[in-house]
Amino acid sequence: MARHLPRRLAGTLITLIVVGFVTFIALDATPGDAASALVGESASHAQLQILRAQMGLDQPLVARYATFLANLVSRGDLGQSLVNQRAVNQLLLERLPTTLILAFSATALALAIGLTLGMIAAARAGSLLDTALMSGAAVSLAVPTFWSALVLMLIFSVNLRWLPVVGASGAQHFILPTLTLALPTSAIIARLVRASVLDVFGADYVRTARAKGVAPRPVLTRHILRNSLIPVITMLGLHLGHLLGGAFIVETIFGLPGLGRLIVQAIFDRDYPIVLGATLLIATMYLAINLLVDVAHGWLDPQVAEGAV
Amino acid sequence: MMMVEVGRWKLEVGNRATRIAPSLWIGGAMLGAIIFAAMFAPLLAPHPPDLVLADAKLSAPSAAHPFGTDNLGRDMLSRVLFGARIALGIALVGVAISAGLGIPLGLLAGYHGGWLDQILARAMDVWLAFPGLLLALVIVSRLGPSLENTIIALGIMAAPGFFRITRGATISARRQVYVEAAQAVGASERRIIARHILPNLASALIVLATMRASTMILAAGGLSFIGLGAQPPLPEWGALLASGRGYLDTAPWLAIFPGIAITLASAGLNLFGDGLRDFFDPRQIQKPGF
Repeated sequence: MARHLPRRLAGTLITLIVVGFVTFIALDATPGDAASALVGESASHAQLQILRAQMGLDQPLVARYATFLANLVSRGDLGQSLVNQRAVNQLLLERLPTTLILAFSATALALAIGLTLGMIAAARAGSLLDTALMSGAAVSLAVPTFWSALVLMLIFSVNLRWLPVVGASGAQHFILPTLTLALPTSAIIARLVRASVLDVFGADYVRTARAKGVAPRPVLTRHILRNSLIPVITMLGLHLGHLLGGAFIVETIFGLPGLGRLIVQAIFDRDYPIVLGATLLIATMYLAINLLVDVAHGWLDPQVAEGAV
Repeated sequence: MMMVEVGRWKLEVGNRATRIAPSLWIGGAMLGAIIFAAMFAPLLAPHPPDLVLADAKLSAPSAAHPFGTDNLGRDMLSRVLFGARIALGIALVGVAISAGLGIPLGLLAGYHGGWLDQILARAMDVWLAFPGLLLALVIVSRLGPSLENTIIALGIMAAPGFFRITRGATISARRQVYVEAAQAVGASERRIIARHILPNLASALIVLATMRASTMILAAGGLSFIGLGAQPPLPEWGALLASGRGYLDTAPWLAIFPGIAITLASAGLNLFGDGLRDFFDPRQIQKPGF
């Protein structure tokens, strides 16, 4: 993997630049641009043209994207919000911690639940318990997060009054959102762990280890777990990335001031610099996680590192 | 061909599937219920979905209103039933868009290979660099929030899945002897793709389409829930949930019944897809146990 790293890094960077450009184009050709948003309805056509020229909006698209990238690389500048003129990078930094805490805690919880239940199901494959666990997993995959969020709220906030409904002033505000996000992810992980353990269990090297008299526990931890973790790590990385970008529904419901809620609000306000900046930040984190997953993959599975796969 | 008896099922099989997975008929039944509700919504619904019954605002579930009524006095059962039409519309049109984009591009890339394949595969990588619903958000942001735009956005977002499966299977099919034979006897490209490559792909694509239909119903519901999808007064299930959100403590039925409907549709499609996959590829069923 180490040999391929520079190439992968370069590929990721190019992907990011194209992602930014696609978003830039998608958001650019809109009727109300930054200049008219700034001066409002009252400005005359001439005033608008002068302001457009000052802001560089009369330049061709590619030139403007180049300027945007240059500002981003040289000063970390992502432009200004059209609504309150605050720097976009400042807004993103304010919102990032909430999203990170939520994504990482949900992933950790999902891993703990999914690994435990998946191993239990695999160890009792074909039993009633296995069927019950896997049916439960299938159903919880189909439950929309915006509904489970409401049901959890109804139970724990409205009826039991154990937890606050909305807000982000303390750890207790993160309990229900974390639970909501972890539920479907743990179902996916449990299914994957079960399938993967069963798959590895039938492999030749496991039979060899058992035949040569390795005790059951080392067979489980050293041979089966390590190898069956490979697809789990891939899936986990993917989901962490999705949570970083996809938690906007849960953030909105629970009133958590994260990146997702920032984007949703910006879409309502037609505040495109924020949408663009947040999209780029989320895509960057997602691609970085993918890269890390690949590195971890190579470390766990030497065949990948050797390029045999 | 031989006949195999499995429980109550009699199957005509070669050396393929010897049983129908329970998920196929459980999922099928759930899906059937949704399709039934959608088709016969005007007959099943006790009231028109938008009819305001001013003297029955926020009434709890009763014989007259099995799912209760909302804050304007509209019958929730009627709204949920009509919502099934919207959900199926999302699933059908959304999948049609993503399959319509992904399959032709996948065939093109897989069959021709070379620089065309490289460019298309890289383009799909960019597509996939938008995690979760981010791409849909960007598209909705550009087009404006509405049910139609949500469906378009979700259709575009899900295209890489169809592309990848089609491309992969086309590449491996192209190397098969029967395709080489067809090429050797001078069959046209169109004929080879239609007669030799697509039929081999059909089962994988049907499974994927079923799974995607499920995620699209969930995603569209989510976008509508936060106000970026279907707009009131459309009885889209996510939008129904959103309007019930403000009455969680006084009228929880407003949030409960649309949620059950979404879960039923999504779980039904998922299970049906799982069952189809097992049916098409029975090798996956027989997993060794401990």
